[in-house]
Amino acid sequence: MSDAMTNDFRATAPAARPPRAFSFPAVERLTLSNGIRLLLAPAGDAPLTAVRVIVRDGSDQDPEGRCGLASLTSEMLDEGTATRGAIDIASEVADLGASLATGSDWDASYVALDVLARNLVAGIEIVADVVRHPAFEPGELARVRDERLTAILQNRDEPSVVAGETFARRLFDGTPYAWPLIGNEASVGAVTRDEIASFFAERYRPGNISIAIAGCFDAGNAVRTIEALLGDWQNGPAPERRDFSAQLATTSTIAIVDRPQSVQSELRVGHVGLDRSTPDYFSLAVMNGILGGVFTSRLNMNLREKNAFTYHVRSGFSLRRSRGPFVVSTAVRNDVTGAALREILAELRRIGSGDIEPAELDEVKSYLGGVFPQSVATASSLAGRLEEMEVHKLDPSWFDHYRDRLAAVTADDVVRVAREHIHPDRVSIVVVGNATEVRPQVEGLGMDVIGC
Amino acid sequence: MLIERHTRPNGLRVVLNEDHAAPLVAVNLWYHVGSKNERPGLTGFAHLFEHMLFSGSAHVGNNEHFRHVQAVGGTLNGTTFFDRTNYYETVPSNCLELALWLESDRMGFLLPALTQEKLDVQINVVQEERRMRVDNVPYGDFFERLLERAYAPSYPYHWEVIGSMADIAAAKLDDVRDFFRTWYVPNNAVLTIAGDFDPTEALALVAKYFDPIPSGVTPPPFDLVREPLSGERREVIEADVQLPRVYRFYHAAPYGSDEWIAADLATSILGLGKASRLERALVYEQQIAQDVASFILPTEASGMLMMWATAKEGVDPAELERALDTELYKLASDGPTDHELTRVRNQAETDLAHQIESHEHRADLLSAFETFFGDARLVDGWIDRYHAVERDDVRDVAESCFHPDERVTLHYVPRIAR
Repeated sequence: MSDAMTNDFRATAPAARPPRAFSFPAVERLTLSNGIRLLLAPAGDAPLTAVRVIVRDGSDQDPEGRCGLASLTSEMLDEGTATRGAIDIASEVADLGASLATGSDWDASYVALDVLARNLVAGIEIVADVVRHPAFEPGELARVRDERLTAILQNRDEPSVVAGETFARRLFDGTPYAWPLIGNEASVGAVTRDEIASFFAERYRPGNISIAIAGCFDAGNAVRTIEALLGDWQNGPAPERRDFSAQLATTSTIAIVDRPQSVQSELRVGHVGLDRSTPDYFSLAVMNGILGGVFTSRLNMNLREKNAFTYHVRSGFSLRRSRGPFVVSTAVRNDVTGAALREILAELRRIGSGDIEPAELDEVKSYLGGVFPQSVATASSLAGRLEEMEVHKLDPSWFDHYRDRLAAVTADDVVRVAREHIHPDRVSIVVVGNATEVRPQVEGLGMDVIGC
Repeated sequence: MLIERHTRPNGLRVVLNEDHAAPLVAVNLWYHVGSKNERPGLTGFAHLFEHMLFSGSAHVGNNEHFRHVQAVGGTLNGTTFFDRTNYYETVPSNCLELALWLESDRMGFLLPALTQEKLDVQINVVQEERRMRVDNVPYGDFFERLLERAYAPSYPYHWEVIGSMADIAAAKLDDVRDFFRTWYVPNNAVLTIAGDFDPTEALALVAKYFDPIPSGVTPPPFDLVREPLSGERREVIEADVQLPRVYRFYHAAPYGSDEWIAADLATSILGLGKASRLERALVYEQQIAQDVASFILPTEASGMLMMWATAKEGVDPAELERALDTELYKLASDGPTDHELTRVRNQAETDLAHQIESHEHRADLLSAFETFFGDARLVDGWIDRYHAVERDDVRDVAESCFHPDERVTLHYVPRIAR
């Protein structure tokens, strides 16, 4: 047999078989009498359970001069309770073979437990204790504060962190999104135990809390356990919530942060984007996928596979309660910094120009829809989706229609949202790199260059 | 776990793990080749080669591998380590055949699609990868420095997987061809399929796509012997960092041995979680460290056990090192408590359960066990081996491993402004 005959069947990709049906796991919802909302999604056959406590106030409620307050409050939860010391908590969690994490993002604060199913009740007991009875013990706070200040110091070494923080300041001046989530030297140095305790007392209250459980567990048993531990927690009045909305810049600017030892320029290019309630959610996801959201995106094919400027480039909208950033992120070697920025700006212009190839549209739509079952296949990833529903008050059927709504996106939708929501002439560019090498390369871009 | 094993006529080993919980299937291919099989002057080559496997084969265009998998809603990647290179995709279960078509094409038909232009692009991309991971980040070269001191220049664990900038740039098309013919043969590979599929159908598809690929010459065995250090290696590095950091490297037993498992538990007792010994002593009680880490890598020829601690501002790295050593010697002389041992076994059990929960990680684990230990079914008894470890085993391994003459120590200190 000749090679051609032998390998005929290899010439084209084999067709897919009919797909097996997939539906988003059923979610049971109930509300305790004090207002705590429960979302229960038993799923999968691994002996693992994920518990997520969601407090619907996050770092965007940090007061002026106290950035990092929400994040510090959440970090202190597992540093001691009325009945357990910090080491006791860590020790008990480890004994269960579990992991416990606390933290905040812009929209909410969280306690996350991942545990073997057979140890779930003991795990929930610890979670309930840290979320309800944190001690904020002064000695533990002093240690955590010192660790936080040290982390802030360490961040100066990380070009990606410096780039991200500079970019946020450029875009969001005058709003909490301009501040580092973990705080700065001044705010972390000044924050008091009373401020942390007050933030906790006002925000961590039953009416503001949801608990999501996913994976292997008995729903009835979980509900009884939570009811027994948290059912008598009195709800309090809703605190004031600060609202704000950043505005787009009117022109483009470049800020250079000099890091003389850099062998790569860390780049951020973008502007104020949209909030999570945008009606363009699905069109935006597809448009961004084509632009810079997947490996085969235009930006990655251009900057990595054609020009070999970088290992990796991506774009994305951070959809928060208020308008978050749209940003292109990459790191390129020093001598192609200007060229890479030109290509990024060219791609931002091209996506709104109308020439969407049917193949790239189909690929991204199929990818985002097709990958969805995989993105909810583990207990913790499914719990993450339940968390998203609670933080952003999504309709309970949101994920049931997720794939259909992606499938309905058209090329016209993509072009329209690119024109409406990508603004190549109103970008902030941040370069963290060797200023001596970089500056001459960016001076020809026709924007104001700002030293930082 | 349902595990079937087959060896195809061309020597390809196949592991099938059926489970129908989700409509997903993971395809995972291990080639038993990594940076350990490179030679001085061509460091980083196994990893650069991995990049070339995404640059197309006879029936699949450049970057089309990515396009095909993404277009059905699949995820994919490849990674290179000291002893192995893996390629994997997780796809909706109705697309199993697509994944097998793609993997078989680059196993059987890579060379016709190879061009100098593609190699040039990937050389640049990999150099950017190195800048991003090693050269442009604080402490980024620690592993390279540890390995250079822990192993003789003739022993291939002497260099890191990413390789040197000069060697990456020097790679030639002929090197790619030779490497492919030597290592990328069915008899040097393990193919694992895990998830929602019918084993009989899957095996027929494997036969269709992989059986026609001819067997290769048996790859050369790895038979180099590591020489003992017979004396500590130490280095002080002035770097662009805010805080000093102490790194420590110890030689350990190879992955899969009883001693490796005991050493794995020892590193968890030392550094896993806030209640572990180093965290508790250095970070929580003495507050001289910002963070600590302690772990052992799953390397085949010889074990690599590492730890580090970042000094708080104003703390002398020598003081930090003394505090670290105090904890190591305590473990080596007294061993762990029963409580500690129970705890770290439970943590190992949860860790394994998480790996098995994910299709991608489960398939990778099965490939690993088939490649390194000759039988994927050993996954089932793996955690029992952790439960069989006694206090004395941990003490013994700590005593033999934490030998002052058989270690490398690095101190990173902030560069003094001129």
